Amino acid sequence: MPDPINRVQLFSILKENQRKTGNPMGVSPEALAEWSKDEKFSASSTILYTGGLYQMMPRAEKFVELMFKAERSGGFSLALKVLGSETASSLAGRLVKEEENKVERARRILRNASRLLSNNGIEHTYLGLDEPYSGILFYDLGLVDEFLNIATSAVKIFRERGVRKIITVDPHSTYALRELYPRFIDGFDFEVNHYMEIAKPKKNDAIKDIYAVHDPCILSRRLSLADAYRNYLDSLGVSYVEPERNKRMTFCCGGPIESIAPAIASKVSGIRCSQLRDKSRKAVAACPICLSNLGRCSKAPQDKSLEVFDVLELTSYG
Amino acid sequence: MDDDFSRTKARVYLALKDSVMQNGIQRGMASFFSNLNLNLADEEVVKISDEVEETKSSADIQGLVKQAIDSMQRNGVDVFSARNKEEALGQLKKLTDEDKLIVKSKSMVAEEIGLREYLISLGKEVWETDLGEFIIQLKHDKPAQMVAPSLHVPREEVAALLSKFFKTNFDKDDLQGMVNAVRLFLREKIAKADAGITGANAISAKEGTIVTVENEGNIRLTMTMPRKHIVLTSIEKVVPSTLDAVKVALAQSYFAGYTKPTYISLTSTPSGTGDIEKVMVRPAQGSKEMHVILLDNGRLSALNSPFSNALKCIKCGACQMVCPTYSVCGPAWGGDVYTSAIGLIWTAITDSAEKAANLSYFCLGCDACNEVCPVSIDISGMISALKQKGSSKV
Repeated sequence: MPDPINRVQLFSILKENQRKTGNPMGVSPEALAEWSKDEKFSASSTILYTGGLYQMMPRAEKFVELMFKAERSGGFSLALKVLGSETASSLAGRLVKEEENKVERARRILRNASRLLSNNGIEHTYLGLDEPYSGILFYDLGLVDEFLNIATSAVKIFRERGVRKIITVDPHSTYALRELYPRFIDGFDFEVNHYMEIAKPKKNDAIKDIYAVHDPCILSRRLSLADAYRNYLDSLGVSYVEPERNKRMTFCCGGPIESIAPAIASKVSGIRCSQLRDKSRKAVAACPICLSNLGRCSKAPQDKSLEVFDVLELTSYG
Repeated sequence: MDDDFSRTKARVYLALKDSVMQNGIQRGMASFFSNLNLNLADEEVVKISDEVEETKSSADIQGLVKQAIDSMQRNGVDVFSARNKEEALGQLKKLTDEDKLIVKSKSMVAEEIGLREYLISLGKEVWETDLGEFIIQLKHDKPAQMVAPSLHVPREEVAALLSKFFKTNFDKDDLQGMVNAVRLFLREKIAKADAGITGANAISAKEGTIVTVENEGNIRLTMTMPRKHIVLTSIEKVVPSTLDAVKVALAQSYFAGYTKPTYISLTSTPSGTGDIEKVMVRPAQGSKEMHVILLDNGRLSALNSPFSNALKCIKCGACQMVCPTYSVCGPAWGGDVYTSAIGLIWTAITDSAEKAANLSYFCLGCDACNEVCPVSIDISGMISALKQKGSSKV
């Protein structure tokens, strides 16, 4: 019996996770901050803000996969038990073993982001275990009260830590902090920049392939960074091809509704993959959600399989 | 627990398995996208849509409607203001009381009030004269999209429907043969019809002129051949002048993906001739009577809601044709009449905000709709407001 997840069930899991771990996927703060363990930061009022998004994606993928299966074959209540009853830390621990590659990939992406900034002479720090989640998923699901609570306490942390400038690594957190926070929080006066706006990567001679460019919707439409994205690729020395639906006319990866309607999200990502696959066997994206959703196409049969990389993976600082 | 939402989700999910529908929609979306790009490369197209946006953004709907009613009455047109579906249907019953055969052109407002089914239930013979809508009539379906109602019906299914109807055997690739059979059938019906019902793309307040745009030629026939012409339309269609109204029609056509419209009609009065001693005699070759029904159905209340900007919509359907969710769910992602993107907002305005809120969760918030909207409606933002409305009750 198919057993489609409803709002009550989904919202309660996400809220419960947020309450326990400070993020909707229930990943422990230690796991979120792990990437920064050996990185050097300066004492600075500028922070690199990850919003935990890249780090959460392996867990989110697992979550969506379970729900997808449950919705098809029934047993959603069982999947809920798995997702709800285990403690976040044991889940995170299990995840490290199961999804080590994906977890390590996210860490590498964030290390590259931090080193990119340093290489551009941008001194910065990272809030580590104290870094708050932006709340964007709650906003996207229409849960404005939760979003407002999260945003309020996030801003409180930024103020306590003397933050002035915030440098973001993903489009969703950028949109939340730059566009939504000022709308919801009185006196929000932090400068928010996406890394592509302020940093130029060094040329990466190791990259030989031609990549189909995927414009993340939020990056290219809401943040108008399609040109900055291409300038960044040009600096990296990446050869790329454009799909028909590109820049401001880009086609979504399906990700934003993967928690509430995984079956629709997966169909949409399949369509986007084939649009990109028509241009090249490799594609580049600049968003953890796109990376995860389009990443499913790597499992497709040979002639349809698409390898998707984050532009921060192509950015290399050893 | 959360039953209405679950039912909605199950219905939308069901469509994910319909590969026939998806083929139709995705082929249509691909050719739409290249046509739209060609149109957008033309500065004139962008200029016209900017002007339409300006006109629509500054429109005082209530004032314009009042002015339009005065103008139309001066033109010898009978005008009726319908607050809701029931009043509109009541007036249509009255106007067509004696009529047995009625032809109509495609109109989303007619779908909104269930006009065809209602007239048939009164024992009348009713035919849709737009090919896509004729297919929908034979299929007993709802329109998939604002401009192309049968977008989800591929040629194989069209051939099957028409073969059954005409008791013949059409090859799926004999598009010409199919279109010709419908043409002959409908011409005979239109010639004999007692009344022709059309919609309107825009109405000018100053001149009281109805503007329609089309490629098939069926609207012109439907409004001129029968003695009685009834225009069923909605209040947000009124713009200040005839020039504004023609621009709306042009923009609608361009953003629906057509390079140029085949026909734009301006209709102001029943037909007449003054050729004999300058004495006006009605009708000449066109209609003898002209009636206009202006439907509100939630639009005025929408003026004071988060959805007020949706009243700028010119129903070109561009937002639907670029929507990723629509490409896989098709018309199932919609209410009983309006589907996908701005269709969710029209569902909220004309039917039920709760229904629309349940549908809103399948919006990706990707903003593709906003990007192509000729009048810059924040469709994505309004759908986000629907989610907030829905989630506040969970």
